[in-house]
Amino acid sequence: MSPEFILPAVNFQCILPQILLSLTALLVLLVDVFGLVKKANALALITLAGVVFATLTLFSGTGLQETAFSGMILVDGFSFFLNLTICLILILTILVSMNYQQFFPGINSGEYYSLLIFAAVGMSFMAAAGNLILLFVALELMSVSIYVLVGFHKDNLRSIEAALKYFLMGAFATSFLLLGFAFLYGATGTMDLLTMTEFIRSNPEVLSSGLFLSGVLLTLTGLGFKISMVPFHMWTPDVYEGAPTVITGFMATGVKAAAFAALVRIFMVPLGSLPIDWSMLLWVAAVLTMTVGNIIALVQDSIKRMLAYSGIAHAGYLLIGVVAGGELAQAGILYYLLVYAFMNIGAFGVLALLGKKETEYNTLQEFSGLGLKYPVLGLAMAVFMFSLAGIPPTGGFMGKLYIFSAAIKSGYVWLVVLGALNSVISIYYYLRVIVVMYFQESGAEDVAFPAPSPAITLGLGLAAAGIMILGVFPSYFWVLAQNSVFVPM
Amino acid sequence: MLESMLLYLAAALTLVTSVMVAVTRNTVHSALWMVASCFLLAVVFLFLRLQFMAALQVIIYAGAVMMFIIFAIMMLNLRVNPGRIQLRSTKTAGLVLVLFLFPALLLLLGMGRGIAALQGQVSLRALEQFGEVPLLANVMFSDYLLPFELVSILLTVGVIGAVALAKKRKD
Repeated sequence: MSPEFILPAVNFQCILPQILLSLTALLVLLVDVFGLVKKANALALITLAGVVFATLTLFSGTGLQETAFSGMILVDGFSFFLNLTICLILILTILVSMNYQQFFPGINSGEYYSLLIFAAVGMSFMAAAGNLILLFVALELMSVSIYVLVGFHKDNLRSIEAALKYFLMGAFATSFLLLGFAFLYGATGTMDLLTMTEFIRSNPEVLSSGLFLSGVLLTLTGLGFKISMVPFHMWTPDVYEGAPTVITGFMATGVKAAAFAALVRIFMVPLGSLPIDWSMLLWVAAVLTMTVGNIIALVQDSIKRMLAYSGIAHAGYLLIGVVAGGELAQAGILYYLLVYAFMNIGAFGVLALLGKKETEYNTLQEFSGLGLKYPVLGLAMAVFMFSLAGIPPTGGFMGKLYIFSAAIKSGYVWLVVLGALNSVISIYYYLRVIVVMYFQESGAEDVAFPAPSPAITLGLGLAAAGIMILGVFPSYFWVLAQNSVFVPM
Repeated sequence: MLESMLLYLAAALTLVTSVMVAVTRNTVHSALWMVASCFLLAVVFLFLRLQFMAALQVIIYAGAVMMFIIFAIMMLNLRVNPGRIQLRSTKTAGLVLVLFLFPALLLLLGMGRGIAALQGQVSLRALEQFGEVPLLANVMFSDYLLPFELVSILLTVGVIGAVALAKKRKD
């Protein structure tokens, strides 16, 4: 290193989508503050336009395989696929929010939309990060935005409680993550993931050093909290239930996508050669996560809370992919994250469709009889539930198929058997929603009246179409996912 | 030898004062323990040959940030936590877990050797050769430029979030 300063090579091209997203967020904030536009949906529409534009610029970076900002950013297929998923999550969330803000005018503000975008910027930097420091800052950016978004119903005690709970526990978990990164640095002498991979490859003895193993454990704790891996899942039901429904969908899919990106980048590739008992640890975590999530979801009366536990169970299915290792499992995880984005935001979108001024409806009784009264709504919910349960010909089935078959190829037959058993258990509570919607008399007459707007029709239609395309014609996206796996250059 | 013993002493005291921050019920006392903890951390930095970091630690954390925290405590009038916190059972469980997990972690840390960080960018030799501030500045504004810029977005988000939560509803 030379004592005088050398201007770094700055390649703006490779972070153009993130720059555009950040600019959109600032623009929305300014438009709101100065009251430049008076129409009701104006803020959401500006946000949507900016996000769609940023999504289109993503495609200019396809097929590249390089690093930028001295190794901070990995420009590869993995980043592209996840950025695409994150942008889709953002677009769907905005569309659903445009309907939701009829009931909760507080949502229709510059702060809401800019925080939503900034959270997505954090997620996309997490997906593209090639350095632990950038990963950490991006994770904080995402988390801080979401802590605030969870507490956006300021008059609702449940929402405030959820925000406080998530914030305190999240800050605690982040400190574990940071300590883990410090230990990893201590053991390998680098924060750069590619250099770390190289170091581990040429010094395999580091894998059995206590410093390194502590780093691995603490990092797993921090990221496990974000994906609500058992035993770090305690916050999930309360936070998912208290948060505004649209935000619940956003964080269930987006945070999971970003945190699994980090898990793949740190655990599957550089640590791929860990001794066998360490993958046993993840094996146990995956089984516990699936089982605990599914069993508790069985007895929930609130659909929102049921979906929270189902989110834990889905983290378990994805963990099977992390245990399996290898490129096929990586592609399976990518595919599953994409499908999960569609089906989960779709399900939460249907929940967000029902409402009254400042009130959410999400218990099973309130949904009874809605399927026949509103056939399209019922059909959409049925698609999302079938897909979450993993029934063909939906995308959820294909996603599970890819992850399970990768695990069988890697020799984890028992894990797949347990995963399949869990899927069977989950069919009960997903189908219960459909049964209630179609075969039960509607209870209270005044409770639910869907108020569809063009935006939510588009959003739910997009989600349902995405699920069916991913389920019936999986080959295009499967090939894309297979070409997008992370292999160190 | 003496130096490393003093370093360990300062580190242990930092830990003790940090624990005191968490367990003290009086908020002002808790803030004062935090000042002590920040100072002791600066001492740790000094023993690690990081004079600049130590100065920043004292000026920014023990000075500015703590002033803000004490102002906040005064304005919100949060002097003493009135009721007892009813967390008996969780407290015992937590204590048992800490007593078990902390030594386990320490044992794990002692296993095998692998301190490769000594070869990293901010090594003792580089510090002596270039001086601390040029070295830090060089690393921060070249290799770590992007995280540095992202921190500015993070701070913006912090401000937006605080305003969003604190401001009154429009209607």
